[in-house]
Amino acid sequence: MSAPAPLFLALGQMVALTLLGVVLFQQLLYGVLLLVALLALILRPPRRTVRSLWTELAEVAPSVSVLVPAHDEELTIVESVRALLALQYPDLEVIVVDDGSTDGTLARLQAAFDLEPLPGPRVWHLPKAPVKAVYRSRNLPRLRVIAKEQGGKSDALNAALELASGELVCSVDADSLLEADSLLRAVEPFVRDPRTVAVGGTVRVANGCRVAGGRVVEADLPRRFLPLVQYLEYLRAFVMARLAFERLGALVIVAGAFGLFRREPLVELGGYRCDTVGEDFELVVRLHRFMRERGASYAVRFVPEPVCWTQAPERWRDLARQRIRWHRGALETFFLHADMLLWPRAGAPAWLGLGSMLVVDVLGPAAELLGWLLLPFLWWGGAVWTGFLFAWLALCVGFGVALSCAALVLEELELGRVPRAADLLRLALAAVVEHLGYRQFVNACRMVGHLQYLRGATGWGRIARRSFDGAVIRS
Amino acid sequence: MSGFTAILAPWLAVLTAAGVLAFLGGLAFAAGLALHRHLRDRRRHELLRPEDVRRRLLALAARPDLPALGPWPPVDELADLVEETASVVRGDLRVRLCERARELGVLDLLVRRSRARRVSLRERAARALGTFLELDPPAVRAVLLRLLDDREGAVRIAAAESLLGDGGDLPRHVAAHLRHDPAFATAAALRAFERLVPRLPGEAAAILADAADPRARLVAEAVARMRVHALLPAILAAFPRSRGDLRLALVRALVALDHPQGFAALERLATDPDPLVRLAALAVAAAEPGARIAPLVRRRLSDPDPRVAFRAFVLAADLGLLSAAEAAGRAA
Repeated sequence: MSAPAPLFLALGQMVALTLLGVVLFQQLLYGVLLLVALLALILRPPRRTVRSLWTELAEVAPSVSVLVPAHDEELTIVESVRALLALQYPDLEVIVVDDGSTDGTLARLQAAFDLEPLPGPRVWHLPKAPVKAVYRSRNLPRLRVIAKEQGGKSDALNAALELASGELVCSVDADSLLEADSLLRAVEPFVRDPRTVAVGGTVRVANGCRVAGGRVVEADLPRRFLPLVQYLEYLRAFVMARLAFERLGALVIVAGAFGLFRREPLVELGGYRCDTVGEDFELVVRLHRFMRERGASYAVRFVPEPVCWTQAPERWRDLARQRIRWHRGALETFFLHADMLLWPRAGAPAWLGLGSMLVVDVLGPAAELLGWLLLPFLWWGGAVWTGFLFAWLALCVGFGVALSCAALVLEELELGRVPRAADLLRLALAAVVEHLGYRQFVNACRMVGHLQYLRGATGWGRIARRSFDGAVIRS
Repeated sequence: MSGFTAILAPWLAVLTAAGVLAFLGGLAFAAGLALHRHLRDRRRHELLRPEDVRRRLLALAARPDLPALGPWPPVDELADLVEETASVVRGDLRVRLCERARELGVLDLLVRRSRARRVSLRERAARALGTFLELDPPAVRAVLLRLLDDREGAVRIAAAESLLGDGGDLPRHVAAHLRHDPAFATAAALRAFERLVPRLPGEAAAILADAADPRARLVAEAVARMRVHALLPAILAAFPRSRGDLRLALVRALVALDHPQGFAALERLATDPDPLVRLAALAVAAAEPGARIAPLVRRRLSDPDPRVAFRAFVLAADLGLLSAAEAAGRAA
């Protein structure tokens, strides 16, 4: 092989070094988050029993409206609503929004809960798509149903938000399963600290779990590879990152699958934005902005114990759609509020929350993907030597596996929800295997998300999911 | 080797070594975690199932001796099962169950747990120790009284509830002890006082006599909820000196005890110039619905303050005071 051209050599080395630097910075950031999460775990008050929480909160807990947007959910909606109505919480109402379903979602609700239309016209301020009717259940006064034309998840949530009467609102996906004590645990920070405006809980992958009556009755690990790796990803995101960001006062994400908010500031903000696919993330960032603009003292909290189970995509195609959408939503939010980075009063949520997003979601994935693609060529062309490749592998795989294993330790200390010892080993193995294609695939999806964002793409895409008894419910 | 390579090579070697160490360390840690979990799970698996333990506990409680019956679960798990089992049995069986549990080391464990750092452990110990009050060992009394001074409100409440279950003089200690305890200015306190008030009318009357005592309102609320007629004189005596929330609670108590002075006071509150006071009067009326408050509610339907009128409308609808046409007209 002839000697490489000096220009190629210089350029190649510069690119390789930049990529290595970005990924190193990303891994260091994760390392810091891990340490902060560990500290947060040590300093956290001990876990309360449900009985003691109930004793203390039963008569002082604020009322909660659970908002359930549903679109074509006829197979699961009745079971989900029954489970929500049976949550252990003293003052609860459930508002289901049928967002222009084309299947029998509304008919199922009508048949199961004996719905009657609420009389009188009503002027709606928040939702954009027309509301067709509002129903209440004749035998369950805590249940109301809104039937509206399709306007998307945010629009459905806005309709429910407007009808809600609770002091707090809890957004829940229609296909998510809440643990019975989840609301009680998530409400605790609102009672303890009146400055709290939002609380997020842990979201777990439900694939592989045994579900009955809208509840996870036997938690288990997914048997298939794809959901198994996502299980690990959720662990890293919730057990490590959210806990750390909460401790740093920089939590900017409350999962749309399960989040609680004070209703008043949300209504004042104008509810969820309908022009973004990352409405949950955008809402929390806007809430930060809103509170800081007013100089208000406030807090956004994360509580690990309240667990919400959700389905992870089982097919590569669905995973790609989901990740592209998530990434597009994240970018939309980031650039909508990027000015906060230069704003003197923005504080930790902007500088740490959005700043880390810049590293982890914008620069990191691009650098990692480019590194895997370019470095072999640069090595083959002689621009980088074998030691550089080993360093790259050590950085991406070595530190990546170590972080995943550390997240497992945190999970075991914090929640202990991994069912068996062998499952811990399976997850550790998954932490290694995910570097052999999965991470690169997810990063490639993020790049597609980048491109779609730049092209101004809209829409959610459809993801095939299964009902919890195994039937495919959407494709 | 170029200059670029020469400068970077040592750093990259360090990075590589650190990455390899992190990789191996992470996997070793995960393996250790799995091993620890495996050993714990196996220990649990070898133990008896909780329902078997409960059955054996009850069978054991029925016998005078303590025979060797093979392995028991660790005493910390046994403690929870004893508390749970004791809550569903009464009389001699319960006493014997507690004796057996004490012989199995449960009581010693609970006493140790009462000093644990974790709040949930102390709280559970405080609740479980209530089960052993029937044996009346001085140690249990002493521990529960100590827990009344715990730094955590939840533990104090648990200890107080356990002590209130005692048939002797312990509730008096609780009453004396909980004065000005902020943890007891909560709903849990109300429940505790509800149990206390009918049993200790003397103490409750003394509390009512002091309008500055924060528990006075709780006692008045308890009298209203439980309709403790024995405290009517104390309520009447406290009434002229009362203000604010206490006054409202006393009015509610008087209304609940069906005393004319209560209705007269409620009437006065319902015509107060401050709409918030009128709203509060309607809240008291809502808590004690009945035919006697109907005229008051009807008059408030035309209240100049829309909030009061609306509350009256809701209450009137609940009481069935409105015809369908009237309700539709007012709702419009």
